[in-house]
Order: sequence, then structure tokens, then C-alpha cells
Amino acid sequence: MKKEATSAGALDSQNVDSDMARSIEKLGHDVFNDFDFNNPVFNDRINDVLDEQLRICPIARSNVGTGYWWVTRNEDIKRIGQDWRTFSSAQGYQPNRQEGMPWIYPVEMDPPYQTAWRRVLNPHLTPAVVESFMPAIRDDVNELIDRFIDKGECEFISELGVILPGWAFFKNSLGLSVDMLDELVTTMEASLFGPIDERVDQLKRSFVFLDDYLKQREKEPPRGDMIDTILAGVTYPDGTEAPWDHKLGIAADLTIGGIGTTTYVMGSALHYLAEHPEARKQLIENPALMPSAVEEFIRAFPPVIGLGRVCMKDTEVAGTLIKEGDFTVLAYGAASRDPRVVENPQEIDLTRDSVVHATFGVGPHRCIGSHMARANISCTIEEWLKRIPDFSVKPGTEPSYETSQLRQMVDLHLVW
Amino acid sequence: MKLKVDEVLCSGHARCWTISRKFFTLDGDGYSAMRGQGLLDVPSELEEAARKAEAKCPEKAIQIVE
Repeated sequence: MKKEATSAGALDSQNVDSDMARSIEKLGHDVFNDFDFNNPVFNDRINDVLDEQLRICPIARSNVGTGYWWVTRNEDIKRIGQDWRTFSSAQGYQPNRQEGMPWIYPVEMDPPYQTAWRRVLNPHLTPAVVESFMPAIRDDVNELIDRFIDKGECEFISELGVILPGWAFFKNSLGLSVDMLDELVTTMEASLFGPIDERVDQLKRSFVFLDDYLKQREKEPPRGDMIDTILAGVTYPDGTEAPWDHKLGIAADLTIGGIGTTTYVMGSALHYLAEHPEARKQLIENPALMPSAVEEFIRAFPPVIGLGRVCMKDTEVAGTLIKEGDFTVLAYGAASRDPRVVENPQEIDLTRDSVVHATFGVGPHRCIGSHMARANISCTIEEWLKRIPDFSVKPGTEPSYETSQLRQMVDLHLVW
Repeated sequence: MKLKVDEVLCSGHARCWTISRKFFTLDGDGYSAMRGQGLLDVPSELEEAARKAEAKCPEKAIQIVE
């Protein structure tokens, strides 16, 4: 293995090298010096990979394309996430960004442009506003459960997991009609997880769809929802008005963020509960545990594994020199498993008093939908347990996953 | 005990708010209403809550001054 790349992240010692060699042999993939988030080993053994990286190599190296750094420790990710001047989002969140990939905003902007948009968008998704949606979200969960409860089984992802966040967000905040959900989910999922050479086209298709919708809404009276806010636009500190393609990028970012992510936590939580009757009993008998349980599911099952930055000036992080122009991915999924900040991170403990994680990111780009995500997850678990307190994974089945910079659960068959 | 909430670091996780909604109030953006307000008094019955919030803030935006 390349000594330079090794010393980039690891301590220079014989012991670490042989530890690393053993780890590489066990995993069948050099996740320290030759990492690739699209490698099937990452999909199949994600927690093993992240835990080994956290243990041995604070900053791993990928040589895919023009290469990228993969930062795993919570403290380093916090530093980089907060230091947007040194680590810019303006060249996008994806390493090796494909030609023609549309820009989504404001995730792919820096302050003060990003700030201008957050200022007008934040008020739509505050904890108080989201709380006001919760009765409607509970009704939606129950409507979806009504559709399959008598069958004694369901495929949770397609029959509830993928639908609920879309309904919750589209109906309450985004003002998109729910019959747009199918098309948007299909194209956006394909742009994230599908064949790499089709991802640009799929995202472009989502954009065409949203563009048509925004143009149609421009002709209609305002409804007071986020689409109106997006169409109203912002004036940037440099005096320029946000152009149309920025507005379109905002609509796309909110949609992808809303529908590509929460489903994974919901499915993973239901999977865990299907396999742990004592946890179900705990939550049913002690409803006050739900907030910490939801937060632990969010920690243990991060749907966003890593988002990138480009380094703007030579900087040292954890003993590694990150040079100007180097693409650097913040592996949020690892930060939430860092034993330096989480006790027994490999254990799922629904009663943790203080859950520390980085699932919603850190710094100015903190996930705008974080409170909505929490509401969706807690309403789903609560309403499900009221209606279906005893359930298990359908014998002979197990959930499957797809992983890139995000991760999704493809299917989950439950029976009761 | 006093504490301050850093105006730049607060990014609206609202973990402090979940500890004490009455004390760690949020503004219309869902960010801390205490940010950039300088040093604020912490009532003695809320000292433990304040320590928890300081430890729990993902941005380390809360700073206690004893």
C-alpha cells in the first residue's frame, strides 16, 4: 500500500500499518487509501467500514476520478462544517461531479448567498411550525396503515416509508401536489442511487418537472407556502436578484432533502422494532422515551453518509495536509459513530440520555428539514405501535440497501 | 451562572429547546432567541438544564460562564 497515502491519515507506526493490513484483508477493500463510496463492500458492510476508518485512519483517501479525502471524526467534521470560508460548498457536494449535473441550492452555495435563502426558507420549517403539522401527519400515517393493516403484511418502504415524508412535506410546506410524488421520487432516487452514467439525466428530468410546476404556479394566486417564497426570490448582498435557475435549484434541493432521506430512518427504525420486541414494549409502556428513541434511530441510521466541500487554501486537519483544490467529504455517517463522542456507538440504545450525532450536519448547512424529519419519524412509530404493536420481518426476507453518498433501504417486508 | 449563545455558530438544531422550551426560546427562524444577546443569567433551578444544553449543542454554540 502507498506509504504516503497511509501516513496522510494514520499514525506512522508498524502497529498501525499491520492493523490496517488486517482490516483491509477482513473487509476485502482498502477503505483507508483506496476508498470508494460506490463500492459494494461499502453498501454491504457500511458500519464495519466506518468503524474501522474511525479507529485507524482519521482521514481516508479515495483515488476515484480526481480523488477526495474522506473525513470521519466528529471533531474534524465539526471544524470543517463550520469553517465554510476554508471549505466551500460552491463547487458542489459530489466529488467527481459529472458534466451537466444540475446545481441544487442552497446546499451548493456558500454564505452570504446561502444565508439569504435560509433566512426566507427557515421560518417554514421551525420546530413550532412543524409541531402544528403533526396532527395532519398522524392522520396520514393512519390513512396509509388503513390500506394494508387487514392484509397482515406490507412492504413498508413503498407502502408507507416513501409516501409519508412526501405527503407531509408536499401537503404542509411545499405546496406540491401528491400526485407529483411518484415522478419526483423515481427520478430523484435514480439520480442518487441509479447507474452512475444515468444520474445526470435523471436529475435533469426532475428539474424539468419542477420547472414546469414553478412556471404554472407563477400564473396562480399565492398560497402562502414555500413555493411562493421560492418564486418571490431573494436579493443577494451584492445587490443581484436570484435568477430563475437558483429558484429551481432551491425547489429541487428541498424536494430531494424531503423525500430521499427520512424514509431510510423510518424503515430502519421499523426494522429494528420488528426484531426487538422488548424495545417495542419499552416504547409502548413509556411514551416519554420516544424523543430519545427517535434521536437514537437518527444517529444509528443516517441517510446522508457524506457530503463534500472543496478546500480553498492549504489546511492541516488531523495531521493530513489538505491542499487548495482538494475535494473533501464530510462523512457524517461516521461522525455519529465516533467513540470519542458517543459511548458504545455500535450499540443501539433507545434510552440514551444525550444523543450526539451529525446526521443533520453541522455549520450553516444544518439540515433545514431536521425538525420535519423528527416529526415524521416519531408520528410514524407512535401511530404504527398503536395499530400494530406486534410485528416481525416476514420470514425468508431481509431488507436490502443502496449506498452512494446517501443510503436507502430498498424494501422491508413486515408481517403481523 | 451565566451563559451566552454564539450568534454565528447557532444553526438552529434546537437541541437546547428540547431541554427547556421556556428558557431556551427560539426566534421566528427556529434559531436561538438568545444568540448574540451577550451574557444572560441562568436561574439556579435551570443550572443543570443549562449544562446539559451546553454539552448537547452540536455546534458548541452555548458557553456557560460560572
